[in-house]
Amino acid sequence: MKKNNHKTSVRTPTFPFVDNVLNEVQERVTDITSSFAAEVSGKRLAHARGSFKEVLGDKFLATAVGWLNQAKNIDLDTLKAFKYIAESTMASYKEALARREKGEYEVDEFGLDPEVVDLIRPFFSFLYEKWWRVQAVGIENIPSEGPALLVANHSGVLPWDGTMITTAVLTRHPKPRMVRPIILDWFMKLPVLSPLMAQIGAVLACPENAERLLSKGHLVCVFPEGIKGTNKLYKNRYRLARFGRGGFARTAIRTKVPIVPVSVVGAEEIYPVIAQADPLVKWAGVPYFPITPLWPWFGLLGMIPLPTKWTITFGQPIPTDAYRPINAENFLAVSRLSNRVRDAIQQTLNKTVIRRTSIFA
Amino acid sequence: MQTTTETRHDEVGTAVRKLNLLVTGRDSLARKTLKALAAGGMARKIISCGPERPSRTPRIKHVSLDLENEKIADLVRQEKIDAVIHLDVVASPNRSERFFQHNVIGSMNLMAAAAEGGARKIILRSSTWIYGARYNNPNYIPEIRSVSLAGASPYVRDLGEIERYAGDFLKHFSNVTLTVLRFAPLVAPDGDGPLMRYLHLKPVPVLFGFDPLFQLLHEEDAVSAIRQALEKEVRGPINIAPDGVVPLVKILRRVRCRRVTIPHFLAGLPGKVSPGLETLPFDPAFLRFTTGGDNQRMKDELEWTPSRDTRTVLQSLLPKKP
Repeated sequence: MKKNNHKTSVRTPTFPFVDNVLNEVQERVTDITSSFAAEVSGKRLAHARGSFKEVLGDKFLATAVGWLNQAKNIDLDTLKAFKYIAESTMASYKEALARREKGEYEVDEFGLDPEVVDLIRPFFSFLYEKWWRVQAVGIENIPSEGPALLVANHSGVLPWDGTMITTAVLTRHPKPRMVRPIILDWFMKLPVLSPLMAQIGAVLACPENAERLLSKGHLVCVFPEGIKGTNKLYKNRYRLARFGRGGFARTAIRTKVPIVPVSVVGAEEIYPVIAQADPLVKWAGVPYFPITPLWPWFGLLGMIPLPTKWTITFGQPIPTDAYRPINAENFLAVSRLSNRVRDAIQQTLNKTVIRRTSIFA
Repeated sequence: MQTTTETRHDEVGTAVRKLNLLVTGRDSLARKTLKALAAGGMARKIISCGPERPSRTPRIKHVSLDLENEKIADLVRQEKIDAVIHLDVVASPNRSERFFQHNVIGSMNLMAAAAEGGARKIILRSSTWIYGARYNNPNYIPEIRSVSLAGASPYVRDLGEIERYAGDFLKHFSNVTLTVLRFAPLVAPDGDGPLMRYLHLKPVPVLFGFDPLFQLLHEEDAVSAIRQALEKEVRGPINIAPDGVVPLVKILRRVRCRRVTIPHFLAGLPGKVSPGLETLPFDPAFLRFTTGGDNQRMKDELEWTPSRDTRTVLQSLLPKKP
């Protein structure tokens, strides 16, 4: 058999561990499928080994082998598993990229692209599980089907709170659902970010869009505080700003969907805003320009959010089906509903903030 | 065969209604409309009118008249025209007095002449582009949204001006049904509309980091919408848009266009920095922001839906496999 020949001819005494690993891989691979083995084994392996040494140099390789020898407890099967995972991932990405390059992908009527959602999900999961260690409370208050309007407090300069609410419903709800966050129209002016936001499900803020989504049974998440929330000073954290003009309440009455008050605790500390540089707003063409201990002094470093501990509380749904459509034009009715939702969120915020011992725990 | 004036406007059925039609237009949509009307049993007489003859169909008589000519009123009266289908708005990339005269003054003259000559219905072509490309537009713009002309290209501005006049016309002529069809971007494999011209550029310019969602309306469906508008009495503007949207980059990938990416702040400049964009009748902002029409009124009042959704229309544009 060729295999034996080759074993004796290439064996070099200098790097026993590498040789052992490579030979074992070769043997096991041979066992799995003979056809695959024919490709991997033999000359190719010898060639690979030769070029390794050439590229890395003996001294460097010796050091590396030293480390490898120390890490003897790493199971070969684990390494192989890693290799296969890496290979199949690369293969599937390559396949997906080739397919997308041919234009073979679908988006929904607001540009949501499920493939991009899947692609970016690990990143949001990392933020959710590891970075902010989000605790989702009352997730069962989100209906399993049919529309609902999630109304949340807005904070944290960049719209991270929207992504975490979305991730919570997508990963913690008994029936995973997509939440469509309504975002500030200014983001649509930004290159790269505007199509990306649409692909992961965000929708430009306007009553027409919200009503269309709700009437088609989607979960929609709005932040009525708007930029008054994201640009909040650190000292004003967890004090809700004005809830716009109550447009969300009007939309809820018109479409007769329940409102779920959502209280996000933790997000208001991720960028401690110490001042608002209003003169820079006009110059930079941005809706607000916060000053934090790190931004803008440390550039992009200042955009890394603090790893605070988050609690997202989904409150009892507030039904709106008792309203008549004409109430949507009555500012008093709209304002009362808006205030009711605002109070519910503020109370939950107060309770949650008091209960925690530190912003990081 | 009943062809009297009385039966033309009764509610009984479509089979007995036969109309005398005046059609203007010179592009692929006009040619398809004339062909469909000549083939279908709707028209008793079709007269094509305008400075250019769109096609040589035997049943169709062409009258070579400029649209701004006052004699059109006489033509409408003499030929006992029932409905005017006005498709002759030239999509020119340049601001030229000649096309302004033709598009805006011509359309105003044609509408007034149709009313004076006794026509009962006017169908006007427009585009969902008249809402303008704005970063804060809803994804699906309803008809009640005001027409915005600020920063519009000459062609879109002409359409907007025509629509403004049409709005006044609607208020003052209650006996004429004026239907304004705001078509989503028209495409067809043999089409020559603004979006098709864009897709035929080599290479096709796209704006860096932007991927607006497009509704694509097949020209055959636009023709069918015109026929439906002839049958229904719908006053005012209606978005004629299919269900579904497609990202611009996906269109270009599917039809295998070679693309060139340019930054959006250079797109308005002439010459080499914006290859080909200056030859298009719409402004580059439409390659940046989504501009779609809400088609609810079309479904409710026109009681009609395009036979192809955006996805199917895109499918029909794909290069044929040898």
